Amino acid sequence: MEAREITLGYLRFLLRRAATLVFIALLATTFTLMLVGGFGVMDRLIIAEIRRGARQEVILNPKLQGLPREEIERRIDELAQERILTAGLDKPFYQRMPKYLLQVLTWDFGSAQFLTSDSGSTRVKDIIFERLPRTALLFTTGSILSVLSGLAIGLSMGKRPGGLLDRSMTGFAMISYSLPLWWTGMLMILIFSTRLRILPPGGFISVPPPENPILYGLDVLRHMLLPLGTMVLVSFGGMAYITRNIIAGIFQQDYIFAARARGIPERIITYRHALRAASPPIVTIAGFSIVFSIFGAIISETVFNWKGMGLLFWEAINVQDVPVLLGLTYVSIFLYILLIFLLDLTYAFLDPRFRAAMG
Amino acid sequence: MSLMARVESLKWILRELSRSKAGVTGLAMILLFLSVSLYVVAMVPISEMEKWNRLDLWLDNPPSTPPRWVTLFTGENVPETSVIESRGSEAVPLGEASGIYDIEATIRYDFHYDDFPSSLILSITATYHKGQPSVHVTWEKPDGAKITLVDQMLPSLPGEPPYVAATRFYLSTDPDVKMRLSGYIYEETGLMQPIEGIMPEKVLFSEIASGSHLEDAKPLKGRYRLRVSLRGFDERDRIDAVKLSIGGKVHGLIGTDSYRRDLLLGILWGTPIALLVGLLTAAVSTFSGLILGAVSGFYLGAVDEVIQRFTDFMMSIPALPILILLSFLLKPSIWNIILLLALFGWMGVCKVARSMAIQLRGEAYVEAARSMGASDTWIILHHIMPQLLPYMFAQAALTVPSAIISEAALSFLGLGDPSIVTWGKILHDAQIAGAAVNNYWWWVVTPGILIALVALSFSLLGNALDRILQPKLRR
Repeated sequence: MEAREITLGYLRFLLRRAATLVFIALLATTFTLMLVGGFGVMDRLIIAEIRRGARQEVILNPKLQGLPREEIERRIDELAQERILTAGLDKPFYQRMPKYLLQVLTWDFGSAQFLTSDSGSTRVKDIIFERLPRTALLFTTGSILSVLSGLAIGLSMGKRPGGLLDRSMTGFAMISYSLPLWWTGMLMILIFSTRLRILPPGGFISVPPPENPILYGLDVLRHMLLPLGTMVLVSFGGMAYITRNIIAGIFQQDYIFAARARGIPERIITYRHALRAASPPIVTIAGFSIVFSIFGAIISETVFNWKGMGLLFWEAINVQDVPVLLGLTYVSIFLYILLIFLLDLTYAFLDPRFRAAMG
Repeated sequence: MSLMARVESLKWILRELSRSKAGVTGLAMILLFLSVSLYVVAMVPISEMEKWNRLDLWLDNPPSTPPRWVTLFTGENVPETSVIESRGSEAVPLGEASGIYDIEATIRYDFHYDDFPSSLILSITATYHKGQPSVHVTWEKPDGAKITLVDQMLPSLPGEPPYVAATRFYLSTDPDVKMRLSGYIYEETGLMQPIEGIMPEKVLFSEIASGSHLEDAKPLKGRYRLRVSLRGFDERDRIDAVKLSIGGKVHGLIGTDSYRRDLLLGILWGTPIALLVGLLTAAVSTFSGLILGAVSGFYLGAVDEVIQRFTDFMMSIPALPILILLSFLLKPSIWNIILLLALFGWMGVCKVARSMAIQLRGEAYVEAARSMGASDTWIILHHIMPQLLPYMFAQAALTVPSAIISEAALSFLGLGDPSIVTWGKILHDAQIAGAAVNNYWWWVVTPGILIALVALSFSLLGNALDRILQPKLRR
């Protein structure tokens, strides 16, 4: 009976969180749209796209071939003007907002101005979704490695606070917190690729790619080593420090002393008693610090020429491709909120009361 | 709190801080960066900084050249950049009443390095009044060899005399110069050299005689002379300036970038700008967080609900992508960037200030003040805020690193203020030039280390302050 209530309570908690986050996503999207509309960027983009379409249509129309240049230009203007009216661009922006909002929420980000996807599509959605898996691959692996290594080292630090490992790692954590990830990436390329020549400076795969699927995988892994190493180097110190603080607190608790007094082996105390109590706060704090730093980390793709979302930000800014930048912003908002929700889910799952209830 | 009490508490904080090794280190580093900033602002005028974006002003320097001090480690004796200037002599008439005048200018350069220079640029500014004077440039080596580098007319200029002709000869790449050098090599050694294969610095700074191999030519030490002679048709004609820029294999304290800019200028001016961004962002965001948090915690109820929901909202949206979009849409000025960074930096402070304000509102002296008819604003200003203020210094110090790193990230992406130079922007240029892959380590390492050090110094101070102040407020 009690177990059921707790489960229901958590479900209610998760539902409430989900509802709040959906609301926040809506609000953030609306807010961004209003900003973009307020600067007149949306209208400029839509008009540019309409004109491009009209030009295509007039130039390719066989009936209009051979007309003088001015006449063709006039026809283009006419057609574009007509379409601008049909699109309702004469109406004020706020009246058109709901339509645009619906487009954004259904992942319809329009066409890019300059950039294309590898498969040749100019649709912003295609371009972004082609990049997303590569970012996810790098970022997920990097986060898992950082958390695991941070956890392992933080455990040793927390068990002997004030020891050599504790003091040196605390110092290291402070230093690594000050390092911009992308710059550290440049440094790593300089050291491991340019000077020592043991790793490729960037990219996703060698040219030409190996045909054997195992070799292909190994080659991708080789290209991932430097970006992954950079990410772990910069973030595991912080993770270790978070773990250390929580573990050090738990090792002060009476039940740990009691367990020791009962003669329970240290290994079991560490993993069963301490780590179990420590995991929910560690997951929350470590999770949030990862999510907070995600876009800083993503930028480092630029340095490693890793064709993910981060590099797309760089490309879109450099060629001034506004639709792509807008699409990236919306996707980033959705992604971020999704990650926060996943964190909530994990946290609830790790909570011993919840786990006990689930049986 | 009375003034005395405030001074006392400040003294107490400083005393505690002096016991923390990390805090003292942080404070010392910050003071160092502050003095560098003051020095730069006072001694290097802003107009100097604005030269950073004028690429045409940097042509005397060699591109992508490491700093001078590397020679201390490599032990090599390689040339440094030097710029030698000279003025022309008086016009000397060529014979009686010929109407032809000779003007000469000589540049002397003592060369004593084991490696060749990286580039040579000769600029000649001459004033003339009649016709088109001819210009003749000869290079004299220490061993007496003479090579003609330039023999041509000054350009004919429109308008009225006097005409001022400023001509620049890129001796290292000029095809005419290469052609002449090819002829010179043929005369001396009998070897035919393809023009493309000729490296003028090498030919000009080594001994070339029959039987010498160009591939393993050694630099020839001694005094070199560059003579510029102008033959004009007016006694007022003159050579205003001759300037030979000898690009070194090492340059300055920090080296140069691929646009030939001396990185020292950018690094120096980057310091006050980084501190400005960090400190101002921290001040604005901490202060707004403090006010919102104090108001939220003091009033509770509906006010609190609205402020807290807004805080949660701001914490649930990704800062960097929205910052990128906003700085892309707005005119990218440093003030806009600071405002935007502050917009995304106040939430943590607000949460902390709120929870403290909730504790303080229940204190007896707040009740007492209220019973005496003090207004809410008065209580917030006189009882709540002063209590929170010391803690906010720690918060502000902890906000600085993320502000500096975020600004660097925006500049790195190419969204910085175009009129100034920041460390992030230097790294943006480095990324575009492929500095990491091309082994231009000085261009990558220096700005990044400085970003990290400034951020570190504020983290050290902030953490130390945090540790000192928290127990006091918890009491």
